[in-house]
Amino acid sequence: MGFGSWKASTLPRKFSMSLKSVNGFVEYSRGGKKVNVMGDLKQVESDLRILPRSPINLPERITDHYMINFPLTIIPPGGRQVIFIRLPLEVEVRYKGRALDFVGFDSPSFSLYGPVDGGILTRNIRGEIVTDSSGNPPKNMDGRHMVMPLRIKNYTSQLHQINKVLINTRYMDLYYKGLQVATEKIKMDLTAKGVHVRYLNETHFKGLQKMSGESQLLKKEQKTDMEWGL
Amino acid sequence: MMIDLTTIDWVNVGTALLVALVGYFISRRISRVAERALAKKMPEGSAKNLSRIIYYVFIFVMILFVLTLLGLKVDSLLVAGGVIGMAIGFASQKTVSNFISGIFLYIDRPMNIGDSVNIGGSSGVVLDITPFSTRLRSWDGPVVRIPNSKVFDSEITNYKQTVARRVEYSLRISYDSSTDKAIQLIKEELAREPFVLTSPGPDVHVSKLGDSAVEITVKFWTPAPKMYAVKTRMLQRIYQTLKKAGVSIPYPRMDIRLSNKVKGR
Repeated sequence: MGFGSWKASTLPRKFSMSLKSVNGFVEYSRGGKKVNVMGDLKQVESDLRILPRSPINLPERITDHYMINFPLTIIPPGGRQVIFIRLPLEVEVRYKGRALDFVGFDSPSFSLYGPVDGGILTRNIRGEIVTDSSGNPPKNMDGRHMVMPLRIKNYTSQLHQINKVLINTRYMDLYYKGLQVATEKIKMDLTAKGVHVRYLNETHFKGLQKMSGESQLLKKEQKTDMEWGL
Repeated sequence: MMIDLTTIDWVNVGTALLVALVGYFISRRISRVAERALAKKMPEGSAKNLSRIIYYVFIFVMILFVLTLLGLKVDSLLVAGGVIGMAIGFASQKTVSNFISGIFLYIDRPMNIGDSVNIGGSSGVVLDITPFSTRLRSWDGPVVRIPNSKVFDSEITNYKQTVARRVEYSLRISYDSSTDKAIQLIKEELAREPFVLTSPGPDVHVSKLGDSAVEITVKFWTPAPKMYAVKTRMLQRIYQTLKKAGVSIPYPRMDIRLSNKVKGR
């Protein structure tokens, strides 16, 4: 990265930002957004990171959950299916573990899942199923989206129609290489007691590296229940 | 009354003092450990209150033990204490009432430290809930102390326990303006705001045909922490949108007609 203003080309979607020294602080700016960072410019430049991340932080983080809506999928009794869902990506500008900025490629909206008292605020995500005709995931992406492998298993004796899944980003990791960004594998179990979403600490794609710098991740419970239905 | 110092067992007195001191520190320590352990399983305020109760129980047991060491008969003291307690109880009914209400509040748990609440007309953030009182920091700064008996009897609105809140406006537009157009513009403006929830979705409709204006009611849900900001921002944006589109917003007007036949004195 050069001194002053430059084009960040980590991802194909380009956005320009600048760093300049102001009264002993370094000022990061992009569009109308300005953030002051303590430190000298050279040090900031070497510690500045631009990372793809899951779509949750725009316009600001008010929830850890997102609800992915995707085309209706029918799962017969006892059936199982793996689908690959394409989701919009956000880009995070991070300095020494502190998020300075988020850049999104999707206009955000929020909804309430469940009742007003005790329900969950969720960021709405429009997902698109990108599984090819032979059931394989897409080989390359455009750098503006990520792929989420979702394994759905119906343990009940009834047919179920699914068009949404509730995800807690705090239990997720992202994997990245070149243009390909993927979440870890997610299991959606339909049981007589309810719908459970589990997060598996592995990727479905070979050769991807786990993203670093995601300090807010908690990898303990790794389970979300969809208490208020599909 | 003269006290014969030679009859006092100074060893026992020393032991009692030592037990009192050690007992005090042990009570404090146990109370803190309990608070930390309980805080993992219940809200901070409840953990604090329960640890205080544990502390007072330990102090009470320690006092009884110290009195026994000093050679006083605890059973007779308890009887005397009961009588004295009743007398004190009658004299300090409000204090006792506050304490008991504090216990009931702990059981009922209508709020926790850090919650935004309205207690009988006093609004603010809960700073502390002690066995006797609840302290609020009101929105404009001052700290309000409310006795627990009053808290328990009052209507408590807890804003923290809801994740989303509904905003409602009543707008008045002129009979000359198109209500369909106004409603469409308002819906579009709401759709542009990320913090207006899509589910439950917004509701915009004509609610009243008034004397001089058509009333339009706007209802939408927003994340509770964003309620104030979104409410003020959206009202301004809706007003600007309607004004820009030429939708007329009337204000109360009175026409006064003077008769031509006004006679002078």
